[in-house]
Order: sequence, then structure tokens, then C-alpha cells
Amino acid sequence: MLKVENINTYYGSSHILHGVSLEVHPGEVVVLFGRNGVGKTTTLKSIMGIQPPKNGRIIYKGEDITGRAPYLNVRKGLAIIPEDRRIIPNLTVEENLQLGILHKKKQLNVSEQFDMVFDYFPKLKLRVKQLGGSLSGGEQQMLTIARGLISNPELMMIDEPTEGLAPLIVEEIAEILRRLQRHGATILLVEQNYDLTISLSENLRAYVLEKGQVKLSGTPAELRACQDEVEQCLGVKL
Amino acid sequence: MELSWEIILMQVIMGLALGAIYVLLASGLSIIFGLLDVLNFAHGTFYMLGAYATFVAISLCGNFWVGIIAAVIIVSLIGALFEMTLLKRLYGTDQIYPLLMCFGLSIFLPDIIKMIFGLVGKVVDYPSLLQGATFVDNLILPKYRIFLVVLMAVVLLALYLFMKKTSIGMIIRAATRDRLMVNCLGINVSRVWTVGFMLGVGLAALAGAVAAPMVQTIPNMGDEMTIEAFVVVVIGGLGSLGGAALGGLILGQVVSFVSLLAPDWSNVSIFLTMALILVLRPRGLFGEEGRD
Amino acid sequence: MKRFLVLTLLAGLCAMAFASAAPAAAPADVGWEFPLSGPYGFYAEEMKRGVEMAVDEWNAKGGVLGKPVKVLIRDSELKADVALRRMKEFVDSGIPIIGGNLGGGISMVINQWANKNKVLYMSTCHNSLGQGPDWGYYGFTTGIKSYMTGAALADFAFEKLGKKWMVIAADYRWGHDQVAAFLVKSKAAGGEFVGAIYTPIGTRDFSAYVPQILAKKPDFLVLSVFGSDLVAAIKQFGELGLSQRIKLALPKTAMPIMKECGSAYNENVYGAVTWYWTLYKKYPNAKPFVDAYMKKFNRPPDADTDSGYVGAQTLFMAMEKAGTRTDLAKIIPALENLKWDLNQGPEHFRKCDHVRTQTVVILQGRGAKAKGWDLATVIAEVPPSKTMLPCDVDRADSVYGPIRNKLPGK
Ligand SMILES: Nc1ncnc2c1ncn2[C@@H]1O[C@H](COP(=O)(O)OP(=O)(O)O)[C@@H](O)[C@H]1O
Ligand SMILES: [Mg+2]
Repeated sequence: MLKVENINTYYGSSHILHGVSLEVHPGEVVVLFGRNGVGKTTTLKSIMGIQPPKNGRIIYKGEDITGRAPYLNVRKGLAIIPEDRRIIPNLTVEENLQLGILHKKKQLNVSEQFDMVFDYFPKLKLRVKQLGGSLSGGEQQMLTIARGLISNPELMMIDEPTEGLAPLIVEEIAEILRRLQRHGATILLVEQNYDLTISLSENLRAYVLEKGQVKLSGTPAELRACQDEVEQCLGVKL
Repeated sequence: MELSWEIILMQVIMGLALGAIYVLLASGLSIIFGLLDVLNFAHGTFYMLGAYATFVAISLCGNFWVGIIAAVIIVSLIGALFEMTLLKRLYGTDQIYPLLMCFGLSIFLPDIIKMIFGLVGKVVDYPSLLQGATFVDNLILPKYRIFLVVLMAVVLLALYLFMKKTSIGMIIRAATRDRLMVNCLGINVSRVWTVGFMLGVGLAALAGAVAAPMVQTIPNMGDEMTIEAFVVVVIGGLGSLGGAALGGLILGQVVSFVSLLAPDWSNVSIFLTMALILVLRPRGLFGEEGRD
Repeated sequence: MKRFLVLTLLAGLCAMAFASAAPAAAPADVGWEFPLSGPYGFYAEEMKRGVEMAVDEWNAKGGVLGKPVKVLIRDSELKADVALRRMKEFVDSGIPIIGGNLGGGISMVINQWANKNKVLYMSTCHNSLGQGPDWGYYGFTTGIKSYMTGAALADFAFEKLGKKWMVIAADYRWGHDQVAAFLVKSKAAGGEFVGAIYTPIGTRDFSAYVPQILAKKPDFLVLSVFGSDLVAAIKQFGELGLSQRIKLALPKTAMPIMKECGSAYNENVYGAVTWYWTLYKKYPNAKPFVDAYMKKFNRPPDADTDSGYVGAQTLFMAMEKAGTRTDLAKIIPALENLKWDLNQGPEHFRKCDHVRTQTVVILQGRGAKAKGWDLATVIAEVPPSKTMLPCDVDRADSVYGPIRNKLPGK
């Protein structure tokens, strides 16, 4: 479904991604691991067209989308759920969600889609008229996922959804991800919480990044086989 | 002098009408700044174009109302053309480049108008329906001024509904805060930019069109208007529409009453008001703390 | 082919560079400068056209002293430093006579410089040039002393418009001059002064003054502002019904002002000018001037056209009489003794201060009756004898000075 081929991405003159390649197949959960600052977010931004790579190719559903504007990629079924959430603070919860479905207004039944996300996130339903900026961190994280989800994307790129949240909420989010996965969503996930991630699905593959390069990749079982290296890359005890 | 209630009431009405022009002009400037991050130094130039377009349209069709509407449409389209062909190329560069582009336009267009229409200004007459005033004793109720106040109220309401109730309005509000995220939600923000620029310029043109009967309609009539509109926007808080409206109304009253009590301060008073408000509230009345 | 074009172009450019670099003996007889690009561009352009018409007229009949006259005209941008720089450039290139400008302050600076450097300067605007040493031997003016229009209008107003008056004045020297003139005349004529409002230059909204003016019920309101301010004031006073109830007296008006005000410039608006084109009916010598201008520009000339025209005319007449185009020792006495009869009957420069003996014309607006450029009716002419103070009084500034320095309401 998505194939990233050897991309190099820069911020100005600083070279961040050094030939990253990865693949995502339909129905899969693919995880990017790596320490802070190795370029996980940058990889997602490169795919989305926010920070296009200088060279290399990004193939999505058989089409070369390298450097294409984000809004065009979204219209083709990509969605990004950014780590900094980027809820529009001066819009209500309802408006934030409307913003997410605007480009698919003609193809989808808007009220059905709202019902669908409220089914996932019943808490949001109680807050529809509240401003996005007034939500708590956990609620904002739910809203940002809901906003990405509402247009039925074919590939969701979710960046560190549990970062900075209370354990109870982390579990809630994990449950949502499991549910999404069960319903056949394709997800490219960035997550620091290794154990939680491994628990998401058995149909899961991971890439471990180091200094802008893919160091290791494989299924959880395969990664377990080279646990030392993974531990070294991530700087944690598993 | 003794301040009778009539004088005070009239002063309030004159101030409201004055404020109405400020509000129209500044809300346009505020939309453009909020959405595009462009300091539109050509705002007064579009105000001037609004006045001239009104003059031309009235000469052609003979009707004030048709003239105003035509002027707003024509100038909005000119604004859209400017945005799409010249300004758009400079987004994402340093803020100074779009500013310089607008500044260039503010030098260039008045000269073009001078070449076409000559040095003698043009006359836009008050519509016959609104000419004159109703006198109640010593109280004057000037029809055109009252019309201006009503117009401002209607425009503000329309603007409010547009922003709150339409999708484009919602996108504009969102893009004002976070244009990248809006782009990442499948929305072509650059098209919205053009709409926003048109809207802002259209409001400037409307201000110029309705001011035309009251002031000298000459190619340089917009020069100080840009600065004054900036003052209003700064008072209200950068990028805040409600702030532009409140700021405009406050300035109208300030100028009106200073004209009565200390006329030689009337021009300076708007800057003093700005300074005072900035000291008390550095972000302006409705300014938000941080934008993206 | 392309190569050839480039070479020709280069050659042409070199030739041009050489031509402009070559030092020419005095490039012109007179160097003029007007603020063509400033907010008073219209008036500057009129003065310029007046000068050009005089030049064309002289050259059509063989020039001055049998040789065509040549003038250079530059833009002074309404800035004193630019004006001064242009003047120096003229003088450095060998031109002994300079002229023009608009704006009393700038005119004053140029005049001082001209006197210090012994250059003949012909001013063409309304000004308040200092008396005595700084309005020296080398300066002349075909404009008018600021207070004269105010004084003329005041004479007229207290006789015809009423006794109770109020004033809105631009807050700078020219505006103050007018207030002083009205106060002096008011005392003599038994006028009743009910208030003064001073507005900064660039005031756009005069509606805020209307309530207090109506409350004071003057017979007439002196509106001593000019340019955009004046147009805005008249339009707004028309809109608010003030000028239907109270007469307006304008110490200085002009054709574009009347034109831009449209029907608001009605029969209740009285304004002073130094000349108006319909006067050709009274002064037949002005007819060829008006006709020639009409033919060329498709509208009549304005008062400033006359100032520029008379400025250039008198210089050429004096050169012809003195038998020299450059020797100021002969040209200045010739100017002092010159009598002319051009657009407004017999006139001359007063010997003591070289100011033109200017008659002030009072115009009444025509409002909706105005047709084309027939914008106003001449209803009075006030001769200089009624407005010009004697030279020694002028020099001491004893009539207007003390009042101007202590204006009521300031
Ligand atoms: N906008 C930016 N401009 C310059 N450098 C950036 C920018 N965003 C991130 N970086 C740098 O790029 C590197 C990778 O960042 P990022 O992709 O956000 O890392 P991760 O998501 O893996 O924590 C970091 O060193 C970071 O400092
Ligand atoms: Mg990251």
C-alpha cells in the first residue's frame, strides 16, 4: 500500500533522514521505534508532503506521491495524527471534526461518520460545543484521532498518541488502537512505549530507526531475537 | 462651552459613523493579517480604489447603490488577481517580502490612478435618499451617518455569520490559527487565502466607497488610512475580528470627543489611544497569546 | 543582426552619456521648480503651465532680445531640502535666475538662500515671507502675502455676510495669519467673534465640529483650511445641513476644490482667490491667455496658472527692457520699475518688498448650477490698497503679529 524508497530529508541544511525505506501493507500495523530525535516524525512528514524528501521515492497505492501537497495526499486517503495534536483551539470540538470530514463531505454521510467517531470516543460527544483549546490533554488526543478517523482514511499515520498522558488514558487510547486494528484499519504508528505497542496486534511489524536510518526491522518475534540490539537502539531495558 | 445632552448625543453619533469606516477598514486588514500573515500595506490603496470604482460605476449607471456594490466586486477581483499572481509567490518567505510587495503596490496604483483620472479629484455625491439631516430642535440626525452605522452593523453581522456558519468561514478561522494542520486535513489552503484576501480587500473597498462622498476623492486618499487601520488592528489585537470592531468603535468615539474638547489633538489622539492600550494590555484588547 | 542592434544601442547610450556630461554654458535662462509630485501636484502643475505659456508666447514672437528663451522646470517634491538642492543645481549650472515653489515655508528658505548668494528669485505662491533683511533685494513674488486674502475676505464678509462669526483654522502659520486678519477686521467692523477651532493638517472628519458650531449660531464660519481638509469640510457641512444655515468664508479656494466638492460648493460658500478665469470679460488682455490655455488643456486656467504666467512674463519683460538676460544689476531695477497689464489690469511690484500689487477676488459658489468649469461667480474684487499694509507697518509686523502670537482659543 505504501512504499518508502530510500528517502533523504533535510531541514534547511541539516540532513535528517539518510535513506529510509519502509513498507506498509493493507490491514497492517507498522510501528516506528527509535530514540527521541532520530527522525520518526520527519519520516511521517516526508510521506505526507509536509517536509518532502530531497531524493528517494514515496509510492502510495502504486502512485508516486513524492513531494505532493498534503491536502492532495489526504484526499487520496492518507491521514496524519500529529504528535503535537494540533487541535484548532478557537474551533469547537464539533467544528474540529467537521474540518476533518470537509474534503469527503460528498462521498460520506456526515452524520453517520459523526456517530461512528462518537461510538469510539463517547466522551467527545459530551463536549461538542466546547472549544478545542479548553479540552484536557487526553481529550485533545482523542479529538485529534477522531478528526483523522472521521473521513475513513485508508492509511492513518499516528505519531506518539500516548505521549504525556496519564496511565489510565494511555490504556484507553491503546484500546482504541486495538479496536481500529480489528476493524481492519491500516496504521503507521510512532510510539515509544514498546510493551504497549507489542500488545496491540499480532499482525504487526516494526522498524527501529537510529540516526535517520533503519537499523532493524521485523515482527515482534523477530525483534525479540535480537533484543540486545533493540535495547541498545532504544536505550531502554525491555 | 456647556455640553448639552444634544451635543453629547450628536458627538456619539458622529463618532459611531467615524468608527464605522474604521471598523470596515480594520476588519479587512485583520482578516488578511490573521489568515495570511501579510501586513497589507496596500490596504489604504484598495480603499482608494473602492472610492474610484464607485465613481466610475456611478458615472456609468447613475445609481449610488449599484455603484457601491459594483465597486466592491471590482476591487475584490483586482485584489484576487494581485494575490494569485504576485503575492502568492512570496508566502513562506520572510514576512518582509509580501509586505514590500504590498508597499510597492501602494506606490504604483495611486500613480496609475493619477494617470487615468488626473490630478483633480472626483465627486461621488451622497445618494439623494440619504442627503441632509433631520433636525429636531438643535439636534441633527444626519441620515448618511446613521446609514453608515447601520451598514457597519449589518456588515459585522454578515461577517459573523459567514465566519461562524459557513464552511469557508470555519476554514478561515482554522487557517488563521494553524494553516498547516488545515492543509493536512485535505483542504486546499491557498484557495482559502485568495478568498480571505478578497474578503479583506472588499471590506477596504466598501469603506472607501462609502467614505467617498465625505472626503476628497484623490489618488492619495488612502495613504494615511493604512496607518490608521493598523492602529485599530493593534488596539483590537492582531488577527482578532472582534478586536478590530471594538477598536474601530473606540477610536471613533475618541476622535469625536477629542475634536470637541481639544481639536488640535484630534489626529494625535488615535496614536495616544493606541499607546495607552498597549501599555495596559500589550496584546491589544482581544489579542491571543500565541499563534502558530 | 542582433549584434548590430546591441552595438547601436551601446553607441547610443555612450553618446547620451557624453551629451549629458559635457559642460554646457547656462542650460537655460530661468530655472523653475514646483512640487509636481506632492499632494499639491495640481497647483504646481498649473504654475508650470503658466510659465510654459509665457515662454511659448515670447518665443512665438521671436524670443527675448531676439533669441528664444529657455527655461528648465524641475520637481521640488514639496520638501525644503529637495527644493534647495534643485536650486543649487540650477545655479551651479550657470543659471542666474530661479523661480517657483509652493508652500510658504519652502519659499522662505529658497528666498533666504537666493539673497545670500545673489541669485534672483521669483516666488509664485501665497507666502508669509519675512520682512526686512531676509526678504531682500533679490526676491520678488507674483503670489500674495498670506494675510491679504484673509483681510480682503473679512472686509467683504463683515459688510455682506453678517457680524457674528466663528473660525476653523488649520493649525499652522498660514491658518493663523487668516485668523489674525479676521480678528483685526472684526474689531474695526464691529464683528462678534464666537469661537475658534484649530485643526491639524490632514483632518478628514469635520462632522464632529458641527454640533458646537450650530449651537453657537454664527452668521458665517471662516474655514481657513486647504486641500483635502477643505474639500472634506465643505462636503460634510453640506451633508449635515450646516452650509444651508450658515455661510462659509474661505480665505483661500481654488478650482479643484470647487470641482471636488460638487454641489456642496453652494451659494453660501464664499472664497477668496487671486484670480479667476471669467475675469477675462472685465480685463480683455486676459482673453488670449484664457483662450490659449483652453485650447491646449480643454479647461480654463486657475489662479496659480496666472501666478506662474505673470512670474515668467515679468522676468522676460524686464530682461527685454534691461537689454540683458543675465545681468541682475540691470534686471532687478527693471523689475522694480516694471508696469504691466496682463490678466488683471495694471499691476507692479511694490518697490519696498517686491510683492505684486495683487487684487483679491471674492467668489461665490454656484452649487448645483455649476456647469463644467463655470464653478463660481465673481462678486467682488478687493484692491491691494485695502489689504496691503504700508511697508514700514509690514516690516514691524505690528498689526497682525501681536494677535497672531496670542490667538484666542489656543
Ligand atoms: N522544523 C525543524 N527544523 C529543524 N530541525 C528539525 C525540525 N524538526 C525536527 N528537527 C530535527 O530533526 C531531527 C529529527 O526530529 P524528529 O523527526 O522530530 O524526531 P523524532 O520524531 O524521532 O523524535 C531532530 O534532531 C530535530 O532536532
Ligand atoms: Mg517525533
